[in-house]
Amino acid sequence: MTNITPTKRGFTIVETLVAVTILMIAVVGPLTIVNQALRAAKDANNQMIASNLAQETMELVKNQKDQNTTAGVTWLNGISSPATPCTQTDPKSNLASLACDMQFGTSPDSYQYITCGGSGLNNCQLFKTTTGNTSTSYTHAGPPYVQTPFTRYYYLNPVTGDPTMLYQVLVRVVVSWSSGSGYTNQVQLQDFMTSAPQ
Amino acid sequence: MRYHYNKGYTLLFAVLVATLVLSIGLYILSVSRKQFILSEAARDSMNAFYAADSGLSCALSLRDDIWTSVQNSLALSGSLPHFIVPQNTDLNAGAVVDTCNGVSPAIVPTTLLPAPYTDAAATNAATTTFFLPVIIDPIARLGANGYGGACVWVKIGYNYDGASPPNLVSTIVEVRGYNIGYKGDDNVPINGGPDKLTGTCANQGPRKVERALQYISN
Repeated sequence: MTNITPTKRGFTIVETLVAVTILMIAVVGPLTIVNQALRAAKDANNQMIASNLAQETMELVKNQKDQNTTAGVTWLNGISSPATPCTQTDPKSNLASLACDMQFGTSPDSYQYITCGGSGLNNCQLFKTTTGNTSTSYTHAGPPYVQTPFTRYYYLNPVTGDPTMLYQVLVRVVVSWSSGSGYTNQVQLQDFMTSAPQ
Repeated sequence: MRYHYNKGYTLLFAVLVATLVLSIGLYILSVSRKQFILSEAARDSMNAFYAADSGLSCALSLRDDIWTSVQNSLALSGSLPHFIVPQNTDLNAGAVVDTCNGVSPAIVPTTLLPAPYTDAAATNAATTTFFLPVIIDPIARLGANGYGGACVWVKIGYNYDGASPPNLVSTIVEVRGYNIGYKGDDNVPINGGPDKLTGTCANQGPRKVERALQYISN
């Protein structure tokens, strides 16, 4: 009975504590890292989508301007209304709903100029139109379309020398989305535009 | 001593597992970070492109007036102009002088320099260059946010013949847009007044991207 060999002894308390600590680090550390990695991947994904959404509106604005130049009509026709110009820099805080955006219509080549902001037209929130599992385009029309985390609008900033936007203007497209932690991200795109034909 | 060969196995195993799992976690983080950096690069590149596009819009709106100044100066004195006379040839005459985003290459003396002509039908060439901020925020314009706002370098070149007054053979516009880097003139008032042409795109930053466009018109 007294002949107990050392191999039958349990782990020492120190050894166990060290092992538990290392295992804790081994579990908690990677979990945190993977969590951050997933967040970064999602941010990257959203940032790419937001950049492309901003580009979409910018190109539609430029396209509309070029069409106006070709047709010989007022250069901001269909981009900004003279009575209520799209100059609202923060549509969420303004109930006048003067922010603007371009969105695709139901037929593939059609797009339209809309106003949003305040509480108007879903506060510039974007929704995805889907056919089956395929996403087709983004729109401000609300349900039954699927809500996305993105809001999008553009505004025109009059420049020094032309306060009434007769000839030149700075266009800024703002796409924002909130990440999981409530932090709001934003992609802004700006282009200086003149009525000179290109 | 032979009874102690198993001791430390748990520790070794824990360290091995920890290393393995940590490595996998770090690998995933590294991939995600690269994705994020790539998406930021795409965004920066887009900003640089639209800065270049802004410069092109500006150049195309000014090119006729600048050429008229060149033509008049050559016909009168035989030399290139040292400043550009605003022509107000746009449809909204009187409403706008020749400015782009508050910058006035037409008012501030802009030297036109002789250049090697790049068109076989031409015998002479002249170029002018200027910088243009593509930003709204006055603070960003002065570079207070670190690197300055979006900026574009614009070069307009005219190839012309030896007639008097000279005939324009071709126009070459070259623009280089940057997502950041506008360095304004500290003496320029933040609000109001046209900017001087002393700003450059010289501010450097780790994520500075250049996108260039060339426009040739015959």
